[in-house]
Amino acid sequence: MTSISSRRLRKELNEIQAEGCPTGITLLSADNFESWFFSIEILGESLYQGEVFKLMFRFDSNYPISAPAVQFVVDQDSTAPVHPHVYSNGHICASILGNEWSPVLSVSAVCVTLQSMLASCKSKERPVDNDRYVRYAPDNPKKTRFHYDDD
Amino acid sequence: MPTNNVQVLLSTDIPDPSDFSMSDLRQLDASLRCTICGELYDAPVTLACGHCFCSLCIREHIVKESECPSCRKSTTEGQFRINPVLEEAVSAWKTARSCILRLSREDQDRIRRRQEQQTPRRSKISFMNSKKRKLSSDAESSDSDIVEVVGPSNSSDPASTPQSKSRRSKRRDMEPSSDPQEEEMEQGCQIVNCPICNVAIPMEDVNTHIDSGCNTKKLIISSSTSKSGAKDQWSKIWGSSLKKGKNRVNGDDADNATERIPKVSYDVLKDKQLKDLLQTHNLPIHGDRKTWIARHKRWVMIFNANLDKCETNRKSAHELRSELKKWEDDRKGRRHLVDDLEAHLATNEKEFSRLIAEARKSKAGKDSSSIPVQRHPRDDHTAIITDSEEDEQLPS
Repeated sequence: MTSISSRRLRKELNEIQAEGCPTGITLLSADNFESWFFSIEILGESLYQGEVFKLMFRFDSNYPISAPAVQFVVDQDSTAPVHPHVYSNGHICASILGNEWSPVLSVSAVCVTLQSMLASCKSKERPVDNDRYVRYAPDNPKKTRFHYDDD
Repeated sequence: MPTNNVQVLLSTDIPDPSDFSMSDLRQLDASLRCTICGELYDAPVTLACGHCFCSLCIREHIVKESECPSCRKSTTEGQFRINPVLEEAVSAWKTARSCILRLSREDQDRIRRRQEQQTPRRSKISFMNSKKRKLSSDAESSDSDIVEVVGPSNSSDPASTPQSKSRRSKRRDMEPSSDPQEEEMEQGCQIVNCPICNVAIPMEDVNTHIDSGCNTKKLIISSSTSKSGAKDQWSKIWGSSLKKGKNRVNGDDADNATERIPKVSYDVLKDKQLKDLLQTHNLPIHGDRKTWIARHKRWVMIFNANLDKCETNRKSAHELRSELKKWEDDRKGRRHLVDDLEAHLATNEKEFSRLIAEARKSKAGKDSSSIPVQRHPRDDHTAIITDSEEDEQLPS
C-alpha cells in the first residue's frame, strides 16, 4: 500500500536522512509511518538550557491534509517542558497543530516551531487550567479543541 | 502490521529530490513538485494568490480549509486556473529526469576519479567545467526532445555530449514551423495499436476503445465519429432539454464529458435520487447512504481534477473508476479484524490494565467533582481495532 501519506512521510524521512534535522533536533526513531520520535533541545540562551525533551508525532492516513498529533512524551525518562502552552501530560496548545495546520508544513517545520515556542518563553509556568485539563484529557491531543487566545 | 508496509515502502524506490547529489538539480527537481504531496505536479492548478498545487491535493485541502496552504489567502474552487505550461514542463522533466540523474551520477564519479588522480588545482578547473556542462543540460531539460537527443551511446563519450545536444536542439528551434504541421496531419489518420488488445485502431478512437473494454464491435459504431460528434453538437444546441427527457445522458457520454461535475447538496436528495446520481456516472450503488455520498464526493473530486490535465494526459473514466475503488478499499482497510483474540490480549495486556487503572482513577475523580467528562467509552476487549482516532494505542 503506497498511500499518499506514507509516500509523503517517506520523502520527509529521506530528506531528514540526507540533510539532517534542524539543529537541536534529533530523530530518535521512525520505524513505521504511524509514530515518530524526536529529541528536542533549545540551543542558545533560554529558560530551558540543558534540558532535553522527547517529542512524539502520530500520523493518520490523511496526513498531510490533516495535522499530525504532536505531544511531548511523559514517562520515567522524560517530562514535558514547563511552559504556559504545554500541559503536564505533554499536550501542546499551539495553533499550528490545530486550525492553523497547513499541508505544506512538515515534521521538521513543526519541530522548529516548537523549538522557537520554547525559546521565546519568558516565565516557566504551566497553563492555568492544567490540572483540570490533564485529568480529563483524551489520549490523542487532536481530539482536544484548544482555544488559542494569544501567540 | 504496519511495519511490513514500511519495509515494503523503504525498499521501493520513491523518486525524490534527494536523489540528486548536486544542489542545483535537487532544487530543480523540488521546484517541480507539489508542496502538499511531494510528487511531481499532477494536473497543476494555480490559485488566485499564484501558488500552485496538484489539482487533487488542493481539492482535498479545500474541503477542510478554504485558504491557500502556502500563504493562507482565502481561495475557492472557482478560482483554480489550470497550468498547462507547468504541466508540460513537468512531463518533460519526467522523461528527462532519469537521464539527467544518470549523467549527473556519472559526472560525480568522474569528478571524484579525477580528483583522486590529479593535483588539487587542476581538479578544481575540471570541476568547474563539469558544472557548466551540467547547467546546460538543466536548461535543456525543459525541451521534451531531450530523450531522443541524449542516447545511451553518447554517455560513452561525455566530452562531446553537451555540444551535440545543443547543436541538435538549435536546429529544432530554427525550423519550428514544419514540425507541428506535420504532426497535425499525421494525427488526423494515425493508426496505433491498442496497448491492451493490440488491435490496430485510429488514434482518436483509442480512448473509447479502451473504455469499452476493447470491444471492437462498439468501436465500429463509435468510430463513425462524425455521427456521435453531430449528436454532441445537437445536444449542445438543444441544451438541457434533451437531457431532461427520459433519455438521460448515458454512461459513455458522461464519461467523455469535459464539463466539470457541479457540487451536489446531498441533504436535499432522496435515496433514490442519490442512487440515480451514482448511476449516471456508472458508479456502483452498494453500501449505505453515507457510502454513496462519500463515493460521489470523491468521484466529483477525482473527475474534476482529471479535467485539469491537458487532454492527452487525462485518464479514462475506467481508470478513474478503479482509482475510486482503490480509495474505497483503502478506507475500508483501515478497519481490520484481530485474528487471534488471545494473542492480541496477551500482547496488549499491559496496555489494557493501564487503561483500566486509569479509567478507575478518573471514575473516582469524576465522583468527587461534577465536571462533565467527554471521554470516549473504551471497550478493552473489543475484537475490532480501528486505526482511526477512536482506539489510539500508546507505543510502549
